[in-house]
Amino acid sequence: MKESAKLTFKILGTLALIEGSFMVPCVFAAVYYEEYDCAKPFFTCSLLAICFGLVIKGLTKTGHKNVLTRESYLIVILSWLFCILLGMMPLYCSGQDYTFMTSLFESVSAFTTTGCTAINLDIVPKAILLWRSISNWLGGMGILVLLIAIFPMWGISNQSIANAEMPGAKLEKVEASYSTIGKFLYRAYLTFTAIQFVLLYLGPMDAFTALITSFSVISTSGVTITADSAFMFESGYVKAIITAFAFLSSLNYVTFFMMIRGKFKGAFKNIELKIYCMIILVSTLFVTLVLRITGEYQSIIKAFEDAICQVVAFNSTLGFAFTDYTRWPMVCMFVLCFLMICGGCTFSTSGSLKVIRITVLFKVIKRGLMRHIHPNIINAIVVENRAIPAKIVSGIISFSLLFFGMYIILCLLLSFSGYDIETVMTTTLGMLSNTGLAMGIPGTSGSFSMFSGFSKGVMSFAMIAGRLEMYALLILFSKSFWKPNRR
Amino acid sequence: MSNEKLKTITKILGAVLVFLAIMMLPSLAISIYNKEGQCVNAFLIVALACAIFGMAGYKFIPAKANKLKNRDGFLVVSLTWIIASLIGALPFVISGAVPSFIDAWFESVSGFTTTGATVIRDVEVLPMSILFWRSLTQWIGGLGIILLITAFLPSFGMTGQIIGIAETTGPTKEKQTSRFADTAKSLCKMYSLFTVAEFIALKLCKMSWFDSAIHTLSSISTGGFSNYNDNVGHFDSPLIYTVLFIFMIIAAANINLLFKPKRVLKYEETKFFLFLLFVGGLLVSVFNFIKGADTSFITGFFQVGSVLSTTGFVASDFNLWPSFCQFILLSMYFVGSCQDSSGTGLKPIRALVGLKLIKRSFKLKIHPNRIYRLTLDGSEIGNDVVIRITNYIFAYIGMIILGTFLLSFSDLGFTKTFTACLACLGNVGPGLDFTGYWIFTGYSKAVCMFLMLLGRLEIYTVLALFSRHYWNSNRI
Repeated sequence: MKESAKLTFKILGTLALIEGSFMVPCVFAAVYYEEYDCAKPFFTCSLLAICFGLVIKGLTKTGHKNVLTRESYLIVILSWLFCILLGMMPLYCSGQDYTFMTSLFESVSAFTTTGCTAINLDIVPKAILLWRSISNWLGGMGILVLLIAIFPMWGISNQSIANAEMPGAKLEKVEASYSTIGKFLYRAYLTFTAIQFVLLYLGPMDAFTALITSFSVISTSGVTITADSAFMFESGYVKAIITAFAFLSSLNYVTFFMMIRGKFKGAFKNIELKIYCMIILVSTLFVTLVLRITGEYQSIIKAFEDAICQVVAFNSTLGFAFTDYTRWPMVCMFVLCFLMICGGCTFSTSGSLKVIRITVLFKVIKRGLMRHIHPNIINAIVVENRAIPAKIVSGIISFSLLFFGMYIILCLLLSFSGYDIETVMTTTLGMLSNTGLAMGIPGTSGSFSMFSGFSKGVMSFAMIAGRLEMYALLILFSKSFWKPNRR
Repeated sequence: MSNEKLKTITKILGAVLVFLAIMMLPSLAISIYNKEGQCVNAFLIVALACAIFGMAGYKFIPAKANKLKNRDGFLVVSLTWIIASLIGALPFVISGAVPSFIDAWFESVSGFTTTGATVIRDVEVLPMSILFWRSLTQWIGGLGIILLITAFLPSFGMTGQIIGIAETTGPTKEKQTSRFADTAKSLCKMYSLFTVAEFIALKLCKMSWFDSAIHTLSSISTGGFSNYNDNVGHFDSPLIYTVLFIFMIIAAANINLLFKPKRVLKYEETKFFLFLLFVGGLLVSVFNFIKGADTSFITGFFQVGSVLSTTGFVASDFNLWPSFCQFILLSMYFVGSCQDSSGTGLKPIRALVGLKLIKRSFKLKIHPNRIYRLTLDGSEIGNDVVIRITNYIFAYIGMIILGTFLLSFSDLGFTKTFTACLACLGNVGPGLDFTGYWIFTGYSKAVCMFLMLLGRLEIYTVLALFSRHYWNSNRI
């Protein structure tokens, strides 16, 4: 057996072990809430996964080995697909007559931290609700692992520009400190979850809802409100907590790392952070004013409250619908759509293009203007008084072109469903950016259940592509991946 | 801005006025022939005023044309297009055909930029002379105002070259002949030749004289105005559609196609353009056929060609088409026609280079340190050209976002707003989910006009005027 295949199996085994053990709470929940239909599939899946994991772990022994780039791509894709497929099994077998595509869609939306749904949440067993939010949480963790350990190796993530100005945290080079930062990440992730749970529990929420909400907020997924818990989200306190934590979890985790180390100056000097805060502030004020002036809201305070919640929900790609934003004026909806393209900061669980890329793209447009005026000028892209190497700029440009290109293709595929332009375009954007919100028909109904199996497949593809920063999934479709030696 | 420059610019604008006065003569003749009282007055007044002011500007200011630099071209070209569209609007207002000034100006901008978007709900009641003028503005804009003037006024040559560059579209500007004036002349000859050819072809298809003239002027310039409310759908004849289709595609293909067809057909851009046309047309036709939305095979191809060439003729109501076909059309809005043609849009060559960049980035992911060259037509694309192209692509996307944002204040719904922005920026004309721009308020019409000008003058030429760096040449 090849060394890399062994490694792949080992990783898959470990993942099965983790996922299987996280299914155990769901078994208990099912028993506690007397949902015996669900308890069985959860129990079986969990048992199988744990056994599989243990067996693999016992059988494979791998030495230290350098993985080739191509193999690492394959391993990442396989791991995600494996997790998603394993995660959909309890849903598919739960006796709730979910079709295969629906269960897949649910699982993908959970693990990619998109958080949209195609099932009727009012009659869903509590165990499944819990499993969805646990997979949200695991997915968020998974993406953090990718961001810190794997994407830099492939040159996808742009943390080198986002963080280069941070003294002390030279993430590009320090392999030794990977584990330090890695450990810190999990601790921060856990701590945030715990704090949020406690805060929500102190408010008007029961333990179960508080748990589900904090799992899905910290991973910027955004659960859809079930009918019997909707009143809890009416309270200003809960809204404030959710918005604050959504904002925090869409920030660069390195910022927190720096703060823990006491380097406040460096942490706040980060340009991405500044621009991100600016975007949120400006759009909130703008939306508030529009809502008040158009008479949509009678009180400016209420308008501000809903505006800031919804703006953060879109910009952090949380995807939580606090109010019926589809009834807002068109210009507000458009601002929200733009925020979806924007996304949060690098190195966070938020999806989409990310603020730093938007910044660079804006500078690219400006550079074009300068070149037009002075045709012979040679000007680099400058962020924070530092010229960005041409290679990185070119990487960001290709990534963004790919993002928009994929967007067009996915829109075309989704339009087979026959829904109107608004529905198709915003749904695709919501999926690709891992926000999970849309305007049009799914916006008003809050559910994507009306789409056919094929469309759900397309949407799942969009979610995974968006979550894995495009390349990690799409590289499977490139010739050079399968024939590395051809030019 | 020195005094010398100001004089030169005034002189050029004088020439533009004279040129417009000459261009109004056919409409004047038509109005006299048809005894359209108000229109005779309108065209007479405007043409006379233009001729007098223009001659004054052109003749009495001494020529020191070589004082201009490339960057001054942006100002001259932008001014030329704004002034031309303002003057083009005057006959509409004075004759009373389009009483509101903003509507008239919209119609005129839409004509000169070859957009073909209309705010007139009922065009069939307009006097013939006005309809003719409306279509003629497209014909002028199709080739470019400065280019036409250069062809007519040989002494204009040097200045023409400097500012003509700011007016032509596309990332790499190929010259057919060494002197710009000669190029302009030969382009003009070709353009006129094809206009005549199409006119005869349409006449042979049993169109009336007037209809053939109007539609010739609209299609050879990739404009899209028609003198019927249901646009070319009025004719409902596959033969006419085919003729219009052929000439639209000729107008949207690289104009060098006519000088050296063998070479141009080998261009990757031309191939890409034809590929998009064929695949898009086929998909739309087949899908429409399956869904039973539009059973005529030719209308699918016609509509895709009409959008891809940025003409914007409407042969069948595509608002009733299945969503997939609408999305095919929408993606065609992005691409537009080839460089060095009378059409505009993002241009296939830019889209192609964008695709090549994406392709290269995948290869780079596997072999990060290998060096891959981007090639086009067998030779390497310079780094400089790639940078210019990517700058433009993102500027285009940025303008779509900005334009949609500005238009969304009108609160008309997502589809209308977005497609109107795409249609105006790409100079196509009709959007989806609405039939005419009369649904927009005055403010939104102004935004649309701005977008049309941006699209026609390739964004940066107009944007440069808003930059501090432009007005202060020493500033970096």
